Amino acid sequence: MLEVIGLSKTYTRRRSTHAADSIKALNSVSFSLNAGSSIALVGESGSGKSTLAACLCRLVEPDSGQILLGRVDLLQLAGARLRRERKRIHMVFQDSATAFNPSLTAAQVICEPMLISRETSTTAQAEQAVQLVERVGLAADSLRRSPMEFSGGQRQRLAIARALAANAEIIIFDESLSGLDMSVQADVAELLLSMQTELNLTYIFVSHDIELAACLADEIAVMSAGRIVEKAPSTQILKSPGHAQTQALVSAVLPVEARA
Amino acid sequence: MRFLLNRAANAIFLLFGVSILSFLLLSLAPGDYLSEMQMNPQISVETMAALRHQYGLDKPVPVRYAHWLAGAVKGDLGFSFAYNIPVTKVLGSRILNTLVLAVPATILAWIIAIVIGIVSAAKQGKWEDHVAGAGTTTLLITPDILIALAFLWFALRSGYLPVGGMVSLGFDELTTIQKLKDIASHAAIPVTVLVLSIIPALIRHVRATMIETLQSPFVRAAQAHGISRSRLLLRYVFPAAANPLISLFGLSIANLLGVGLITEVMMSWPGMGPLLLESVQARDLYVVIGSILVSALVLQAGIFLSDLLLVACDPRIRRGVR
Repeated sequence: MLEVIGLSKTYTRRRSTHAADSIKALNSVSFSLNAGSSIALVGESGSGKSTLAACLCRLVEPDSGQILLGRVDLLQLAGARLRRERKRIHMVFQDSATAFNPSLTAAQVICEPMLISRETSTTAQAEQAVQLVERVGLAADSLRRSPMEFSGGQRQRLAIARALAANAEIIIFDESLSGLDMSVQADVAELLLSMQTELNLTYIFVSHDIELAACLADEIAVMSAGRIVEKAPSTQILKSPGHAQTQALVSAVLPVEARA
Repeated sequence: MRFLLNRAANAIFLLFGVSILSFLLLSLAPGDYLSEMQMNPQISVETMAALRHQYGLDKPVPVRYAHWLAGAVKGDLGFSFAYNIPVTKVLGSRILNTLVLAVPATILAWIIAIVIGIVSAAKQGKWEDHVAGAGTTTLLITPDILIALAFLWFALRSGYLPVGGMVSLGFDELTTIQKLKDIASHAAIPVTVLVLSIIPALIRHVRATMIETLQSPFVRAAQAHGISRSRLLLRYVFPAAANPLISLFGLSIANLLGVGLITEVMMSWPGMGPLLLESVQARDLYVVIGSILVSALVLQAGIFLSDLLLVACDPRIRRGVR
């Protein structure tokens, strides 16, 4: 369903008129993902995982490579065609407080993708908003409230409802669960997994927490210095990490007895 | 309603404070309207004393203030020594003349600043942004007087526009449309000078708030939803960036009044600027206080308008969300 081939991105920061610093954020990254499956991009800060996620949504323009969504290369598209195709991939951001337009109500936030595409009537949008908000476990009467009046976990549920409203085939969660309490994190994770089974959704999780990633995703791709250094099923990665970076991430996870 | 009452109470309190301070400072300054007359040896001491009594200048400051305040509450701002008519009459036409410059200048300045600010933010780091940056910097470092002089020189050399004043000779014989055209042609240069004086700061504010909002995750989310660039800028980013700009709107009026004072004097525009200058020079106490009060009132009106706009534009304020 999704195939990423040789994706590269270098950030250049101009120091003066003659000198510039270059940071290779992505260095020929390739991976593929089947419909209904999930992958977690794991790595330390600066490893390139968030840049990769932003490139997949075309929020950041890669320098080279291909992002094949079915038969369509997203990087070859522009204008109206790009606007239409890019909606197939949806990003749920880490900071839910800033991820919504502050002037919108919860109902408008959920309907935002429909409002932008102008494809459905306002009545249909309102009906769908009620269905979606209830689907993610929120009360329908909360739709009139501002997202700022919701808790962090509730806002992430709103973000998930918005992703469903967009009819996204692939949802990218950019550290979306990392700011939540453990119990809220577990609730949201459970919701995501049940929806994946029900709707055959494809997930990409971006996380620095390899343990959480292993709970959520079928596969884990460990990133370091802009490259995927190891990619394997989640259980295998935790049991026998191959690359030094993976070993470091796994060893950073506290054993259960140490948490007591 | 409560909000409106609060604002009205604040405005009354502020005007009261401004009136006390102006009255006190002007009364404590050495000399008064009759001081120059006192130098004239042909006017006797008795005449001077009679005049002082007539104008109420022989009474202590608190008594004079109490007397003035009692009148001001009823809408009587005192009597102009120099014009020999009530201050409200002196101020009336002058306020109108000042508004003829200030209102179009404010509207024009904000429209231009919003357009350039949005383009500059949308094209950050590109040539459009550099040109806007260079333009605003040039205007910021150029004194307002120099801008006014340059335009006066242009008007004089080109002959396209009238130099100074508000109306041409024979104004009374013109038809209504010709009168409006005449005033507009006289106002063109002062309005342009006012606009150029206040837009650099406005453009920079619009650009900065737009850039800050453009980096918000909700804007990135909207981009990912496939929103077009123009719709993103105008329907998403600008409304979200508007709050600090609306707050600035009220203050920009105060700034405009300050710049307007100099411009009106330079362009011989019969507004509040020249009146305030003449009154200060002549120690025409009640006209000066009246002018200051009118400026404070205009500032309050600007802030009040900003608050109303904020309520109208931001649903969070209407819903009372923090």
